[in-house]
Amino acid sequence: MQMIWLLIGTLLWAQADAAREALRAGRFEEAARLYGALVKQYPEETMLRYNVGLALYSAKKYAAALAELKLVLKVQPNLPQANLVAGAAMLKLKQACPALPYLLKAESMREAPEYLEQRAEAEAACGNAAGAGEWFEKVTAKQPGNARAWYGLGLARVAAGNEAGAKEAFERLSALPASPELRRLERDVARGLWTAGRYAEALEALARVKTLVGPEAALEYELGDCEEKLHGPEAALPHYREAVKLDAKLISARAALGRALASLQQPKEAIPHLEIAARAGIDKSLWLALANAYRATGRGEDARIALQKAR
Amino acid sequence: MPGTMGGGLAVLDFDGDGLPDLFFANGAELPSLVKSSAKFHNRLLRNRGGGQFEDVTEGSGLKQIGYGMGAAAGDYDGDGKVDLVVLGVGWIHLYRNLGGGKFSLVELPNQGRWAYAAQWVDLDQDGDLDLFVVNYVKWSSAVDRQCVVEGKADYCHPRFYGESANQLFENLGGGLFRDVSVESGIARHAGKGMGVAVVDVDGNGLPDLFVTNDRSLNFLFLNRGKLKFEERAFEWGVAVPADGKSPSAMGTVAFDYDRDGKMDLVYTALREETFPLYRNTGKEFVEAGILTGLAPITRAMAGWGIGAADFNGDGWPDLIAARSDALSVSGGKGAMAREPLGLFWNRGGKRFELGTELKTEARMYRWLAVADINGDGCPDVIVTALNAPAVWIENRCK
Repeated sequence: MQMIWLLIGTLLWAQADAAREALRAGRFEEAARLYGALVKQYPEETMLRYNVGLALYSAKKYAAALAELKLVLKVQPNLPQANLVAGAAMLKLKQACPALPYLLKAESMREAPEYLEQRAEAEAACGNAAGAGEWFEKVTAKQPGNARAWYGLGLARVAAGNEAGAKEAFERLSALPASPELRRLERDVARGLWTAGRYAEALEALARVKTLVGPEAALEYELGDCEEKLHGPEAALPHYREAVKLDAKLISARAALGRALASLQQPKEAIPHLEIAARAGIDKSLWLALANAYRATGRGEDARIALQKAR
Repeated sequence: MPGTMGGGLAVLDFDGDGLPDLFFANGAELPSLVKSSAKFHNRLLRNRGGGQFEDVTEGSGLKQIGYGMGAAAGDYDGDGKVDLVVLGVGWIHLYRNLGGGKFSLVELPNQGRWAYAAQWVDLDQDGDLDLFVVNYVKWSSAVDRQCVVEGKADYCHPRFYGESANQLFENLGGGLFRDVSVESGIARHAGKGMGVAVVDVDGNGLPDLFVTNDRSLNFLFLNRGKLKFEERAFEWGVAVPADGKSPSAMGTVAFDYDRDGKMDLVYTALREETFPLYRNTGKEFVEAGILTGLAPITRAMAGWGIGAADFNGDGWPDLIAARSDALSVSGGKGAMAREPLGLFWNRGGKRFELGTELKTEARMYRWLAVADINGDGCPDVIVTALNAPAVWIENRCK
């Protein structure tokens, strides 16, 4: 965030300098305290109060920051910096739609990447996919290495039904140099595609994540589920087996493995997995799968009991 | 809910001229379920030969009231004229063919249930046709709900509505029927019925009934004689696929795909569920979808009506399915809800292959009937679709 510096007279110099130094050094709470003391001495100086708000925002005390900034905006309602930080604080407080009027008042700062990002996030969170897409495009144009912006652009395009555009954005995201944030965002994208039932795209995205993060049970399970939805249980089986190998307690993978084996007419092998999954109580239909497997292996009485549990 | 379910039809030679005629059960206004204008009337089309049909609904007595769902044709009074039963939301209407293109109506009791499909079959082997009626969910306009799918208003999953028992009517002769649902054992089992196939699964010479249920366990009513039935779908392996997940089981047909003399079963379902195919071993049904390749082909498809016939004259029964999603075009699936028809060639009773020769427009296809419409000896197909004209797929197999 662009800092606004004030010349507030010789007497204030040392105190203001200490506050500024604390803010610059990332000691945000100390900066807030020092600026707060100055505000008490010079309450008419709105920019000092703005700096309190900025320091509190930087210290992730968003509600307190917003309260200070609202006081600033009472005196100077169109102050772009205060509107921008107030809007950003509201976004953090999950008040995306109410944040938009503040961000609109800060539009004179539209060339600043910080503004673009906040505006895009707010438009997206307020459900304006087309608007979010436009603003994220601006961010990516200015900052082609901004992973969050490519991620946001991809999601905005998904929401707007622009599948080709979303794919392009996610591909640009994947092409960025590896970083922990990138890995996390890629994982989010892949999981989002999977939960949205876009299995072909999810399969690609999950496979990409796998190359970044290495073996992970949940990832293997999700890969298996995509394969099963697209190509059937045979294609899913290796992933489910791997998921259970990596984490024997992952019940969803255990259930999927049991079901896939049952579908592939391997009831004997399916039974131990289905027994564990059915007893975990995540889905009653697992008892039906188990009953079918018992029946197919000639265990009539067990089948009857499992069927009763399913009903 | 009824808005996505309709489209039933029946093929019947009502005028006895040897050419199959067509009857279409049409919907009504929602939520009133009233046929408030002519566009909702049922249609009786007389086959004039040469590919020409004549609308003879007017004066036939078949225009009907209420929201129509399905229909089944059969000469229940044995007078040589094919009669008709029409099913709807809250009623079962029996139409006796009086001759001269006229029908008289008798209502059968159904306690306001949503009657969906029916089959005429001589279940007690006394020489006349009994009537089995498949009932869908417990529904009325008062309990109708709307759900949101991917942010858009759409039809709800059937889990939001209760199960309903099917009905069996014994033909007593003289145009009289008796509801024997309770004493026959049929009423003991409530489901969400969508389709019925008649098949003697155990080879005892008596026709059994396989009933598909929408997201609940299917039924296999084994005929023990004298109109007594035992439900044995689980024991025979057709209650639910091996993975335990009840699909949206829709239309069904019995056919001997491997020509081993035992009738097999197939039914349609929605995307990711495949169209499950079962081989009859004589003692049980074994899933054959993966082995025959039908499961991978149909994994991305949603289907309703399904028919079996040897469409290419190679001696092996093929399959044709009326495809489309249960969700609406204006809802979460958008235009993706529409699908083309699905033709599946039976390759020697071992494999099914997608018949790419059949190219049809993607529509909200619902139900179909297989019949030799043009009398050329090759089975044709009549298919209905929501908010669209019915389609005649002429099979020029020769």
